[in-house]
Parts: sequence; structure tokens; C-alpha cells
Amino acid sequence: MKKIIFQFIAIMAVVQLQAQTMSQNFNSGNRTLESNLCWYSPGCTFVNGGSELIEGTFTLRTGQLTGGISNPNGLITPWSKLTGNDTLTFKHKLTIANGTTRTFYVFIESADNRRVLDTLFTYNYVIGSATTLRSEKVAIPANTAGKVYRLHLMAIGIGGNSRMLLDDVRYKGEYWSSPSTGCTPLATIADADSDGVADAEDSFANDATRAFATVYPTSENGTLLFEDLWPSKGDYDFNDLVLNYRITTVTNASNQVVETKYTFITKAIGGALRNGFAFQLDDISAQKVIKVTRSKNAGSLYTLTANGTEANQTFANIPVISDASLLMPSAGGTGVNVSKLVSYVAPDTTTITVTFLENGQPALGQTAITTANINSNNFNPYLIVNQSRNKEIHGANKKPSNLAATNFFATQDDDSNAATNRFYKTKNNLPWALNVAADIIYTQEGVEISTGYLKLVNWAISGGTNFTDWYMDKPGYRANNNLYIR
Amino acid sequence: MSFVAKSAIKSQRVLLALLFMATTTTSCVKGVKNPANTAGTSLKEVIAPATFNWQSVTVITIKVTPMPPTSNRAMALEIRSDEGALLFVQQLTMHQALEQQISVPAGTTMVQMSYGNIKKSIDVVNGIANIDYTLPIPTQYQ
Repeated sequence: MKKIIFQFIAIMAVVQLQAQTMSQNFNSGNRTLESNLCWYSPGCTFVNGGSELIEGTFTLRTGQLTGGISNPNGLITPWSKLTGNDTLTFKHKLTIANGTTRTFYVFIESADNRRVLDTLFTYNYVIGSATTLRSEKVAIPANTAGKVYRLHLMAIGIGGNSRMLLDDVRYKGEYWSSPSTGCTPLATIADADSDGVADAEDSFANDATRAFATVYPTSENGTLLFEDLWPSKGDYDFNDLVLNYRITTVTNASNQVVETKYTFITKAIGGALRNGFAFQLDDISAQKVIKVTRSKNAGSLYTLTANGTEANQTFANIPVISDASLLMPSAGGTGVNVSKLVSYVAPDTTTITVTFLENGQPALGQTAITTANINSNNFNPYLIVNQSRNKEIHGANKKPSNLAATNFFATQDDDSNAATNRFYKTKNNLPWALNVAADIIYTQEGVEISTGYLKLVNWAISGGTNFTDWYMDKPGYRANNNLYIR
Repeated sequence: MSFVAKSAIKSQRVLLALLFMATTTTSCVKGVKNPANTAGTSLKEVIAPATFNWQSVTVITIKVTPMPPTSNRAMALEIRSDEGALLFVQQLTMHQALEQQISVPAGTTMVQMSYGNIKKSIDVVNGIANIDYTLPIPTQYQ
């Protein structure tokens, strides 16, 4: 018995869904909005007062019906999947009793044959009594059931200047228009992996666990530039370690982050120190990470946990390089790729994938990360000075990891103050790291970066407001002789 | 010339020298602080605002104004840079509101949105890109 009742409820639910009412009462008062929802009203306005109001707060009013068949005015409904054996109801009248002829038509247009309008209803107004409100019930043929149509409720007239008023349009059907594609009938969407994302929009059309991939910072790589003498000021050539970076974030149909892929290209080492490099995902717990996949081992500088993040860290810390000088041995003298007098060394690429969802599931006991949880604010790259794991150099005001020794803060030129979340800045707010949203050329060894990029100081003094494009190759922006251009 | 007069002249010279030094010192500071006059200024002389983070990437907020409910079919809302880089994409219906932070190059004043055939240039004002789906009424239905 219970089973029968359940089946009855299920059937009724389906019937109810299919019997959705399509209605238009014009009470939004916004013709543009209704047009965007695929309720078109050519030649008409929405009026909201006086004797022209049929009911509610707004009524549709056509233009003066004088142009005959070439100038129909009225309402075109959205495409909808009809139920058949239904009635279309509406109310209408003329504004004043004049004109030679006035006729109200209801046409039906099939999505399968859009050039043909079949007439469902015709009413010739009796001009003398045309201002009397009429309520109509128009039968919709049974053979329309389950098919996609739209209705045209149109008034046509010759002579005079009267207009038609229309309100309270209702019929049964399922909304089947696509407002985002010019109000065409909804098309059957190809979705090979059935994840709800159309193949045309799905970057992973055959993988239900992935849907989209976005890149950061933009279509080209970003650049990280470090000074490595912290807590002392350096020479501000910002080439002690130079890396390009690119982050690709893969999400699924539910906007959950599946994985983030990091590409780091080590380009230059401008000193003698054996520096490492890692990054922290601020506010992202290390427990959220299922695994870290690397193109090469992180090296002996780090102790890793089972998921590949660094041990003893609250937030996920991802070791990248233990000793950059081992990846790019110097071709002579001190440093790599900072002097034109020394042979060029090919950059080294390290790729890392941080997985947050596997087979659609987050790490055990964890909730999924969404795109709302992760953006550039979370990306906290840092240099590790000369194999001293506890000596980290982060970007200005970026937090140190758990492993950073705090005894360097507020010593020498550093003016950090953990109590006020002020980190890695001098008294004059100068940094030890730059993060640029483009692949830029760095300066030669010992050449201050501001002599290569002539608008950098303007940018800094303005707090990043002016010359946001300081790194671009525009007239007056760069002194190429100070840059490391091979 | 009396001793007093000589002293007075000496004092005036000292004052003038101090005034000159003060003027030139002040000029230096102005040179650093005035963005129009920084050519040749060393980064070491710069005093940057305390809140400046020395990044040329930033975060903006996109705010999507939803439409009244119609179909439950979802599509991908894409936000791209002027250069065409895909900055953000999310599957949503037209009647879903959305407020989301996304990362963009600093100084971004415009982004491009697309949702199906709806494509618009969106101004970024005070770090916010307000997005809606409204288009003008098509000519044939005006």
C-alpha cells in the first residue's frame, strides 16, 4: 500500500512539474526585463494607470492599430513545452471605440517549423462595444503535448487610433526558451560525461570529475623576484632568485577545486647563496590536500608528510626547490643568467600538482574547497635562505610559515611586527620580494631594478595606484641597457 | 664695522645657509614623493605607503545580479581579461546570484563576461565588477 501511495505521489509530482503555468501579467512594469526573459511585446508599452489598466499594476497596451497585417502588435510568449488539451486564457479590450477594423489573433509557432504560424483564435472587435473587457479561453490542441511552441497574441487593425489592451495571459507548459542564447528554443545539450556541463563549455568533456580550467595570473606567466640578504637590505637588483610562475585551477561542475597546477621556471640566480623556494596556501589547511605530485623531488631541505605537503605546518606548504643552484649550475663566476659576460644557462622548469578532490571526493574528513576559498591572496611564495629552513623571505605583508624563525624579525633593516601582521618590510615599507603579473626581464647583477624600470618608483610611491603597467615595454618605461637582455 | 654688526652678518649668513639646506633637503623629499618627478630616484630612497604589497596582481569582486526564475538550465559564466585570458568560470543558472573574488592584474579597469550568447564588457569600479544579463530589446521586437 505504501508503495502504491509513493508511486502515486511520484506520478503527481511529475504531472505537476509538467503542468507548470506560463503566465504574464506585465506587473514587472519592465518591458526590457520581460524581453530578456523571452516575453516579447513588439509595438507595445506597459501602462499602469487609469481606465487602461485591466488588473494588477500594469497592463500591456499596443501601439495605434493602423498598419494592417504589416504592423501586428501584441505579445509573443517564450518557447514552452506544451501539455496539450489545455486552454490559453487572457483578458483584452480596445482603448476607445473607433477604427475601421480591429482583429485579435492567437497564432501558434512550432519550434520544429518556425516559418509557419497556425491560427488558434480570431476575434473581430465590434467597434461600437470594443471597450468592454473580454475574457477568452482558447483551446490548445491535444497534438501539441510534449512539443515546443510559442504563442503570438496579436492585434491588427485599419483606420482610427484605438489600441488593444491585454492582461493576465496564462497557459500550461514548461519554460523551454534559452534567454542566454537569444531566446531560441532550448536545444538538447551534448554532455558526454553527464556532469551537467555542456561539451561545448567543458574543458574536460569526457571526465565527469573535471569541468573547467582557469589560469592565473593571466595568459602569460607571472614573475617572482627576490632579494636574499634579509633582514638586511640588499642591492635592490631583485635578481637573487627570479622565477616565472603560472597557476592553473581545475574545477568541477559544482565549482569545487579539483586541483591546482603550478609551473615554476627558474630563470636567474643573482648571488652566491644556495636558496630554496616553496609556497604556502594561506588559510588552506594542509589536511585538505590529498596529494602533491611533483616533476622532481622536493629535495633534502624539507620533511614531507604522507600527502606531500611539508610537515609541521598549519596551512598547506608546498616545497618546490631545495637548492636552486643545483638546478641551474653557474656557467662561470657568481650567479646564473645575471651577467651578459657569462654563458647563458637554460631555465629549469618544475611542475607541481596539488590535488584536493580525487574521484570527486575531498580528503577524508574534509570538505571540498570551492573557487570562493582560493585566489591570488592565498598564494604565498617564499625563498628559503642558503639552506636555513627557518629563514624565509616572503612578499610584503605575507605571513611566514610555522617553520620560520621569528628571531630575525625587527632586526637589522627588517621592520616586521607580528602583532600588527606587518611582515617583510623595511621601516620605509620596502620589500624583499616582488610579484609581477607578467613575464618580465630582470636587471643585471648589481643594477637596481628601478634603473631598468623607470616607472617602478612612481608605482611604489602611489601605493600601486599609478603606473600599474610599470613593467611593460612602453616608451619611457624601460632602460634596456640595465636589463638582462641576451 | 663693529663687532656686533659683523656678528649680525655672520648670523644672517648662517641662517641663509640653513635655509638653503632646508630648502634643498625638502626638495629631495618632494622629489621622492611626487610621482611626476622620480626619474633617477633610487628605490632605496622611496617611502612607500604602509599598506602597499608590492604585487601587480590583485583581487576584484564580481557581483552577478540574477534574473527572475525561468529555466533551471545552467551555463558557464566566463570572465576574461581584455586579452582573452580566462580568469574565472562557473556553472550557474540565470536566476542564481553570485558574489565572488577573482584574481586579476593590478590596474584592470575592464573585464569581459560571456554567458551563452550574452557578451558584455564590464567596468571594474572600486574593485567591483557588476554583472547582469540584461540586453536591449531586439530590433524586431521593439
